[in-house]
Amino acid sequence: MTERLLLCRSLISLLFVLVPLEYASSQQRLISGTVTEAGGGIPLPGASVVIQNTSTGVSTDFDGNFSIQAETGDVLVISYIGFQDQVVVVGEADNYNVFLILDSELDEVVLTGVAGKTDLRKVSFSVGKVSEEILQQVPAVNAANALRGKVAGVTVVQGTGLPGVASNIRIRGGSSLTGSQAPLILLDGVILDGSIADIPSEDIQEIEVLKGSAAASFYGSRAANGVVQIFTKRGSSKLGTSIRIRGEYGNTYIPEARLPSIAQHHYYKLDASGNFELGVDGAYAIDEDGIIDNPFPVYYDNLSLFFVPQNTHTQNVSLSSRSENSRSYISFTNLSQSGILDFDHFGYDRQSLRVNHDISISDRLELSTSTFISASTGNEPALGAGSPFYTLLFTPPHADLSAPNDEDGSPYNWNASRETGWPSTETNALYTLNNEIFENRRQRVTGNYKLSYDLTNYLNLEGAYSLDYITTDFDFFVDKGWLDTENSTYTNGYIQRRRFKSRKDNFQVTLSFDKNVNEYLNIKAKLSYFYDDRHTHSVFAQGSSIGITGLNDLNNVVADEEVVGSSKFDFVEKSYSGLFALDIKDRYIIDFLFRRDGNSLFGPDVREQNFYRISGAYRLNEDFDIPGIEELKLRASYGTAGLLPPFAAQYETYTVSQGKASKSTIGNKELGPFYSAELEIGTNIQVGSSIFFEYNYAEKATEGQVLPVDIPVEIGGFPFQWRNAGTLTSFTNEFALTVNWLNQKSLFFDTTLSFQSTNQFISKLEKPEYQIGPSNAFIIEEGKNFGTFQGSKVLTSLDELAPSQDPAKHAINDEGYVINTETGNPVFLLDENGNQAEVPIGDINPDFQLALNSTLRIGNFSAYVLWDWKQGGNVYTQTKQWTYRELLHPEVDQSGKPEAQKKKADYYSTLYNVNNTTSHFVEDASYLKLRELNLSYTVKNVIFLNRTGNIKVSLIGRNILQIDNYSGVDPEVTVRGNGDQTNFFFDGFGYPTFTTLTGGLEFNF
Amino acid sequence: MKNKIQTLIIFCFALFGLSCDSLDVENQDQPETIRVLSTPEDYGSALDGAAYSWFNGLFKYFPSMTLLVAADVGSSSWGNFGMRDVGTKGAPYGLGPHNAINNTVTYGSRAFLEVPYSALYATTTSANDIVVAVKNSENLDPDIVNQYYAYAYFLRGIGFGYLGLLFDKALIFDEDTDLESLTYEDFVPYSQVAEQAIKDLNSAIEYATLASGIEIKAFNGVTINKEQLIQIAFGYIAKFFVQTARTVSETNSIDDWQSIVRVTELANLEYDFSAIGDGETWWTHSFLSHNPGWMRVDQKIINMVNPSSPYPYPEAGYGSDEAEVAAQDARFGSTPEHQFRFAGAAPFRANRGIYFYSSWKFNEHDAFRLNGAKGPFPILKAREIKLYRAEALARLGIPGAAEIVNETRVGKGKKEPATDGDSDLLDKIFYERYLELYDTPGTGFFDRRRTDDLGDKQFLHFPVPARNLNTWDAELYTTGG
Repeated sequence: MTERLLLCRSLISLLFVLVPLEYASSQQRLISGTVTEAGGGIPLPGASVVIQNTSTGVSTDFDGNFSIQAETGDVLVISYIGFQDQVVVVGEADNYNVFLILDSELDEVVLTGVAGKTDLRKVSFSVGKVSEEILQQVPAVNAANALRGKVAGVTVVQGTGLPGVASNIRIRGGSSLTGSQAPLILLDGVILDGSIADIPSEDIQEIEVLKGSAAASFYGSRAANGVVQIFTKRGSSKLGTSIRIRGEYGNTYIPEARLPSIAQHHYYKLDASGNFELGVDGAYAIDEDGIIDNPFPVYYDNLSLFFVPQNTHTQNVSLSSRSENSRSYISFTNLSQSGILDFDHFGYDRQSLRVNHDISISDRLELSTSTFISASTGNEPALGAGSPFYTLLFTPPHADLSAPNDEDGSPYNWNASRETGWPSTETNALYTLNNEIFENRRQRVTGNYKLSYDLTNYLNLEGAYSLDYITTDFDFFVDKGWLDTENSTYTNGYIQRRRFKSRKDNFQVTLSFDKNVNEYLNIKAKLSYFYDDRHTHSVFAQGSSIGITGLNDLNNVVADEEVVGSSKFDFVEKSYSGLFALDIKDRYIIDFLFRRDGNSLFGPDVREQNFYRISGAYRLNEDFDIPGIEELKLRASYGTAGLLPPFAAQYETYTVSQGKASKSTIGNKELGPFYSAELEIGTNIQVGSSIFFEYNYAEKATEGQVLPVDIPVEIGGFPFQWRNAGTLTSFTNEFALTVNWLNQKSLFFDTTLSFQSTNQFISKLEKPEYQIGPSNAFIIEEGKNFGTFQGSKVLTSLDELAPSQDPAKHAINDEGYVINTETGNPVFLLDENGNQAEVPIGDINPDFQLALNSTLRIGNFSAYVLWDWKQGGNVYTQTKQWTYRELLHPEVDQSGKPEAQKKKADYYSTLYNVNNTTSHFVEDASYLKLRELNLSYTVKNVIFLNRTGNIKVSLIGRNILQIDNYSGVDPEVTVRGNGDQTNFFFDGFGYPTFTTLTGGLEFNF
Repeated sequence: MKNKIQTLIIFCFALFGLSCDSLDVENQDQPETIRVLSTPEDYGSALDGAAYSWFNGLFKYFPSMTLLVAADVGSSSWGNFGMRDVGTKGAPYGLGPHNAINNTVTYGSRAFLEVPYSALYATTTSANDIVVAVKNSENLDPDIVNQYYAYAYFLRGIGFGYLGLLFDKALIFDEDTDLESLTYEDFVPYSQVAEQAIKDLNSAIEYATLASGIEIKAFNGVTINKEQLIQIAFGYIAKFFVQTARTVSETNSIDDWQSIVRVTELANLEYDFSAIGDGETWWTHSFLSHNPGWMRVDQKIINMVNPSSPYPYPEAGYGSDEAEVAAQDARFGSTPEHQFRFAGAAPFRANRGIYFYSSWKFNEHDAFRLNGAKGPFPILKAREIKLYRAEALARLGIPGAAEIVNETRVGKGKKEPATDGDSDLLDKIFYERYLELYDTPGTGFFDRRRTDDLGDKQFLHFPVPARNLNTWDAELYTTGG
């Protein structure tokens, strides 16, 4: 048959996709054979042998043998769980030996967002993949951390060190001005809504990342931020059982060089004996020179009592097995992290159990189950302004925080600062830590149960049910006897209980078509229906004034002191999608997708929304022989996806409290989703067998930003309405380059570079500019970058002086600031009314981010490192700013400075600027971090309990080295629970990130 | 093949069946207007919500803390609630001009403008909704109608009343107004806003009088009955009548002080209109304004009590005036029982202006503060109404003002009695007002304003907040400075 005829047939087949091609039959006879694993020769019992396009099939016996009645020209399809399908055309011979290849040995395949299992080389958009080998080098505490530095375009921000809190993921530029940039997370097909902190990385087999709308359209109205699919391990592909036992033990600490510190001098007068002199009004008298260089009468190292290295440990036991018709993976993980606070009641503990089971019920029917149960307890201290992290830095060094209370002898003198006469109202940070008892308990069950039925060898019907149940209990308790009279809420004790329950059930039916129509044309298609039903509700009760000392029970709240509340909301989504992909001659690849989402969160007038994708790729290397180039693929994809509005946004709402209904927001029946459209253009190049390169350019515009828009409150009483009122646009350039420098059995060395540079800005805003984020430090205004700090600017040029400011009375000082020469104080940019002008003063967006991971293996020794470099971008440090007010930040300390550079305390108080967002506190957020390090040695063929196995000994470090210009602990810092955790870099007395150094021991047998 | 076709048919039916499921989900937490107003029995809850909006927009930190400082009644240089901005004065030291309010959408402390503005309109519109709903309801018991009207008109009245006190202009309406037709041109000056408020309060009194009985439980821990509602309404009429004046000139132009005498007689308050703090939802600015680390009694008040205590607070400080001030007025002293308590050096920052300093703190509700914002706090004090009466009597030259003044002047302050013939009787009335009404939000500011006693170039009222001007496409403007 000529090529032209074959192509014609391909096109005809395309028109009749579901019409199988039939062939003439001849006489049947008995065909036999053996199915074995390729390479190893191990027979595969229970393998399915089916005659293509018929329902005739048999299974292999325990020795891998089969017999089947077939005719010459019949096509036998041999399949086995965990192995690639093999096709045999019956010829003249009566006996056939079939060798199946393990899935894991196949060329890389993609499962997420495509029509069916697809060779990565034939995917027409960018998909990031992280393999088990990389993931298990330095097992992350949770799945989010596992992605860091592994995929180009993926930003993982660890804005807090708080144990038990997962890092935040953003892929390329942001999609939402008001919500999270978190991608949709799938765990073995289960859509996760809650934290992924529960998912131990020890169980992860592989992660696939769809980076934006151009790839993730299949997931419709929740996928504008991209999709991360986590695949957990399944049972062994070989008969038998293997056991893995792994433990890590070590310390968590803040390295000395990064520990916070405070000023060691002050500007008050001292008497002859070195004590503070009091003024006429009884307060400390201020030294005439006003310079902070006088010593304190005594020093206590309070910070070293606060930040104390702690232990951490994790254990994992997993069992992987396979029998004739099934395979199982069972894993238990225990994790304990104490963080950096020296109190027993702080830390995070998690236990989790995973049971994955796959079973072939018949030749055509397979059941696959994944069940995950976890229980965690996190005891978190208060964070932010007023918390112990704040009051600690407001404590002068002559206050002894470790002294007992005069009142009752209990530990940590609550008013240690005040008793010194220091102008402070802050409570002893250690007293607060010791007496505020938080406990956050989370239980979770997730599961995916999938039944797959092969209607024919090219047509598959699959039904899947998945669930995600989460229960969170939050307890807060302060016992009677609280001594801090300034925080009188706790005076007679305080109890708070919150319970949050979330139940999510998904059901999905998929009809898949996957056929090699002929040697030129491959077609994959699927039709899918998805139904999602979620219920969440929460209740809380709290009361101050308790009866019995020490009894942490709501029944102990004194009558009439209780406060109760609850919330409840439901969510329903149903969607239909169709996906069609074909490739011609393995080189021309086209992919179409359409999805229609109906979602209860959309306004009733726009309740159903359409999403689509069209993409194509051309593999040049298949047409042109380019020396040294094994793969050269050009691809382009354009797709749409969305994000959901907040639950109540479409409704007209009254807030009900204590039975009273007050106006809140007016409804919007036309409120649609955030609607993102992305164009991605990219290439994949493989040079020889050792250089792999991928480049992508992505242009994303997310219209319909769901924003609160002010309306005339005067006539309706409702101050705002949620509307689709803006567009966030981003451009991203990213590449990944992997080089296998050495690839020998006993000598291996590779490096992978991941680079991204993203520009994100507000291209349209249908409301006046406004400020958001922690301390409203960020401006949302058309034309400005998303992540722009706006506030007061300290002048750096005399040209910036207002007409009312005489240049002759101003000069530029050694820090580059314009100062008033009479006062020595810095001056600010003024507007036409004489107020401080509010102008852009910084931008969080970095110039680029670059990660390098590298593995070196020499014999049984291996070393792995992950470097993470962020260049450019800013962070705002309110921690520093507020400590300026107290004149306790190390920078206000003038001791040791040359006389000419010494500044008065007023200089720093002026810079403090009443805590308004101010340019002086915008700092460079560039850093270079050694994120992960693993040095390990494997002892092979060890006999243990009559079994042969391996033992691996490791030294593992996380965040062990950091180079930056930031004045605080870590420029990668966000304020928890206060807006976007990947864009709002803002240091506001949070829990500092820390270093982890552990030793690991692993048995495999 | 037959089986496969069956399977596919079942698949299609399953999809069809699932697709019939509704996407309409009820908001079970937050009802909408139609639900709130669908049952006449629920109108009371909607009115209670409107009452809470009114309370929430006035009695917590915004604008109470701001106005205490703006009036030089309380003093604080902390940046919170715009206190430092409205309290800062240019040269000469402690007496120079104030800046204009920074009325922009990005001003960091704009909440002191926006919170009361939105809350008061939530009150007036919600109350108006109920008036309209009652008007359109059929088969409602006439007595119930009177009760709802009384409550709704009362709330609309006190909502408009505070809009007139706080803002330079406002949009007013009644149940016959086509709200959708209103434009920015329909905003009217504060004097007309106060007129609408007084009209509504008179309507409230009229319907309350007709009702067989009334029980309002909107204000935590108290029940307001029919007679009390009428008295409180009369009390607010007096307040809005007098305190809406922006200047001495406007105060002097009040030609109907006789009506204040009549109204305050009818108000006849022998009790404070109060609520009970629960430490969670119901609390007031007293929680912070009584905290010596947060706020002090302005030195202008101390100087009023004891003229030898310097005003403004001197840059070099001065020795303790504890005994001297206490000798002038027995409400000042050093024990927890004293209404004003000596607290020593202020913890404010010197570079923000030492003129913010004072050694005295307000102490009347310290138990409320120290008990976690629990316990009674005043919303409208009987004392305020009595002092309006005293002022009206004094201005009309009718005897009786001194007797009212002396209830606290002598009873609490242990000062020499005032007499009706005193030439400075009005000053003595204001002396009592500043000391006795420190804790009712804005009262001190409104009194300073109507006696031309605010600081140089201090704003007389708030402008319409910038974000609200934007919703009307109106030009931004400001006040003060």
